[in-house]
Amino acid sequence: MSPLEVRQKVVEIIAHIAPDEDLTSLKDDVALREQLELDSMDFLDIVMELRKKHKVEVPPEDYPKLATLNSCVEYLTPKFIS
Amino acid sequence: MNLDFDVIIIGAGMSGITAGIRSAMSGKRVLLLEQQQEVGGLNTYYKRAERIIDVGLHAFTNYLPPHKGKGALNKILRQLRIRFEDLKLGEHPSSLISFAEGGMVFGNGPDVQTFCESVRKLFPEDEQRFLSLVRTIENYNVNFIDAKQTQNEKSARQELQKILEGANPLLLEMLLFPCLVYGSSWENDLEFSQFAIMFRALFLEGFARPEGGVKRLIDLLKARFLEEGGNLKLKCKVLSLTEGKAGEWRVFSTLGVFSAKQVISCAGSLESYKLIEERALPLAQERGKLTFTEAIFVLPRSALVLQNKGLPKHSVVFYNERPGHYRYAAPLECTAIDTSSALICFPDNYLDAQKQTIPSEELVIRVSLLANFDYWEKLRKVRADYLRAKEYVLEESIKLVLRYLKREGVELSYLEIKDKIIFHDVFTPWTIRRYGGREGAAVYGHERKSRDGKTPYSQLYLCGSDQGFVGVVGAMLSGIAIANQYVIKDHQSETSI
Repeated sequence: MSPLEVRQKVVEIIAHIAPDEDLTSLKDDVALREQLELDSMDFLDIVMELRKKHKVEVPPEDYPKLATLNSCVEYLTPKFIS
Repeated sequence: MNLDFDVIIIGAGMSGITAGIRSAMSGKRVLLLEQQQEVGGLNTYYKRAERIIDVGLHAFTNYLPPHKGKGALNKILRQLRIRFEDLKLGEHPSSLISFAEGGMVFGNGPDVQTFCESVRKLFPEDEQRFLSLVRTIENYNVNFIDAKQTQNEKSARQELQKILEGANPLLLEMLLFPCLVYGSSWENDLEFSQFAIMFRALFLEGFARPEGGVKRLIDLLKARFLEEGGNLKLKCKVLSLTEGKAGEWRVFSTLGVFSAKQVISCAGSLESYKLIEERALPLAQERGKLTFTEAIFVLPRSALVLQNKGLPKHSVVFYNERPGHYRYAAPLECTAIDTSSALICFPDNYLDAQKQTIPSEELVIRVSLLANFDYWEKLRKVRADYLRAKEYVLEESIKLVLRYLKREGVELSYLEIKDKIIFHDVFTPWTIRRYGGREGAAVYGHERKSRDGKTPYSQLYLCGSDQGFVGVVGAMLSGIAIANQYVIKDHQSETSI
C-alpha cells in the first residue's frame, strides 16, 4: 500500500471515530490533537480500528508515533506492507 | 487453553453494558450476564396501562446543546458510536435548589449566568467567591483511572471551605446538596474530585432527558452491544466465580458455566468478592449507607394549574427544610424515611422530550427520600407493615411536594390532590436490594472505591459505582474507561500521545 493510501485509511478511521469533525483541511505536519477534538480515548480507538480493519498492531510504546498524519504514514506504511 | 470467551461481564447496569460494547468493539468475544429481564440495572422502566414509567434515571448530566459546545456526554457517545441525535435529548429549562432561606435557580452550562444571578440575589457578598469556585472547577483535571486518587482523598467540604473562605456557610450547603444526592456514597460529604466531576456535570454542563425516557437509551445500548457481536444472557443470575489453575475465570450461573480470561463486574465490590469466597465480610461497617425511597405519582395536569401560577416549571427540585443545613445521611434508627428533604423530579418539564411516555394531559412527579435500609429490612418481614410503610412514603412524598408548591405560592390540600392521583407506585430500599442485589441497597455503592477498577484478584475488575463514577453518565464512562484500560490496551502503559 502506498503512503497516500495509508493516509487515506487513517483519515477514514478518524472519520469513523469522530463523524462530527471536519477533516477536509487537515494539515499533515500538525498534531492531530491540535486540529481535532481528539483525546487519548479517541487515539485508543484509532489503534483499535487499525487492528480490527487492517490487522495492524500498534503497541502502547508506539502511540506517540500516531501524533501527526505524517508520522502516522511514516510509521504505518511498512506495517501495512508486511 | 480453550476458553468460551475473552471477557465475561457480570451485570448489565449502565457501566456493564458500556464495558461490554467497548470490549466487543475491540474484537473480543464478550458475554454479558444480567439477572433481570432487561439491561440498565437500577435505571429501568416498566409499562403500566398506557404509560411507561421510568425508575432511576432522572436525566443525563454533562449535556451541552450542540451550538454551545460538547459535554462529556458527547465523548461517551462517540466512544460507543451512538449518534448524539439518536438520543433525541430535550434539555431542562431550569432546576432549583430550594431551602427555607431561599432558592437558587440554575440552567444548563457552559455559562453559569442564571446560577450566578441567584447567588447574587441570595448571597450578594459572595458572588466573586462563587465565581472563583467555578474557575477552580473549570481548570480542575480529573484523571479517570488513577489509583493515586484513592490514596489522595480529600473532603469536598473542607476544600470548599478553603475556596469559599469567608462566604455564608449556607452557600456551601446549597451547592453541596445536588452533588451529594446525585452521587455520593459518603454521608454528608464527598471526595473532592467527585465533587469537581459532579459540579461540572450538573452546573457547567447540564441536564437533558431522552425522548421516551430511559427506554430509548436502553434500546440503543442493547442494539449497539448486539451489533458488535456481543453475547447477552438475560435472566441469568451469577452464583459463583472460581479461578482456574491456568488463571482463567469460571463463572457459574443459572444458565450454565462459562469460562473467560477476564471478568468485569458492575455488581459491586463486596457483592463480587462474595461470589468468590463466602468469607464473613464485615458488611455492616463496609457497606454504603445511602439509599432512597422513590414515590411516583401521575396527576391530571389540571390538578396543579391553580391560582394563575401555571404548572411547576423546574425539572428537578432539590428541596430542603432543615434550617441552615442539608442532611445527607441515613435517617436515624427506627425512622423509615427522612421527610425534611427531597429530590423532586418533574420529568415532563424537559423541553421537547418525554412526550410519548404518558398521555399529554397527565403529569408525572417523582419524589426520592433518604431512607434507612436496616429499618426497611425489618419492615419487609411483616407484609402488612411493609405495605403500610409504602402508603406512608406515598403520603409523605405528596405532602413534601405540596410544601414545595407552597413555597412557590401555590396552596393545595393533601386530600384534594390525593383523590386525583391516576397512578402511583412506591419503591423502597428493599425493592432496590431485591432488584439490583446491592448490599444495603446502597445506590451509590460502598464508601470505599477502587478508582483504578482493580480488585485483590488478578483479571477481575470493577466498573460502575464501586469503581467510583456515579450517575448514568458516570456509570457509562466507568464501563468505557475500564474496558479501554484492561481489555483494549493489552499492556498497561502510561504512554500517552
